[in-house]
Amino acid sequence: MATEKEILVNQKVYPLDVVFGAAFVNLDKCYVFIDKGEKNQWKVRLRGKPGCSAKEFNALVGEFENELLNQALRAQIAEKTQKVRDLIVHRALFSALPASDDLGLDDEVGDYLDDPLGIAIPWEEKFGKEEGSPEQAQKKEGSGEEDPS
Amino acid sequence: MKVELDKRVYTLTAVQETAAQFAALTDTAVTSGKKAITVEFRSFDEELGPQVVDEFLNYALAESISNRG
Repeated sequence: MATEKEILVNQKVYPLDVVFGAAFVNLDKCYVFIDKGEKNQWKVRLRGKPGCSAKEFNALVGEFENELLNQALRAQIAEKTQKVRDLIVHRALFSALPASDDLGLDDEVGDYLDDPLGIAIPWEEKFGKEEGSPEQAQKKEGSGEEDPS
Repeated sequence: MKVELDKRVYTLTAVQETAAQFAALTDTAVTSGKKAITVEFRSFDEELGPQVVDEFLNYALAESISNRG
């Protein structure tokens, strides 16, 4: 007996994604070929793998048809519950965010003139001039000071 | 032997990837048309015979489904 069968699938009842789902589940059990059929139909050709008996193949065809229904129902439920699922995910992600107090945004608010590390203070003002430096000596000579030693 | 694959079902990338994977088993030529991708099987592995074509089509379908996500 030939282990090959063509199934015509109505595109309105079973969209391509549904046919894909059913085909993917059965790819390891039989050979699946999908083509366009007549008006609004997909033509799905199933062929048994070597060693597949006629009885096993008939069971496979039945399983494929059941899987089509299963996938169609899954798609329908997925479409109906999409908003609820999106809401649940949004809520879960939102609740995972840290509270606004923990973000540390308030700590960064400050005056741009604040200089807690003293970066804006000039070197001379902060540390003064070194004693005995050439500049200091010139100043002393100009003012007429003498070394007491 | 030539097989036409509907572009709504099979993607060109998937078919080309499949052709590359099956290069050791069969010599193929892949051409893309407006609505269909044509795969010409020029020679088969002697042990496997035409079964290679079925395996090729299964692989291409799996790849196409995976590519679509």
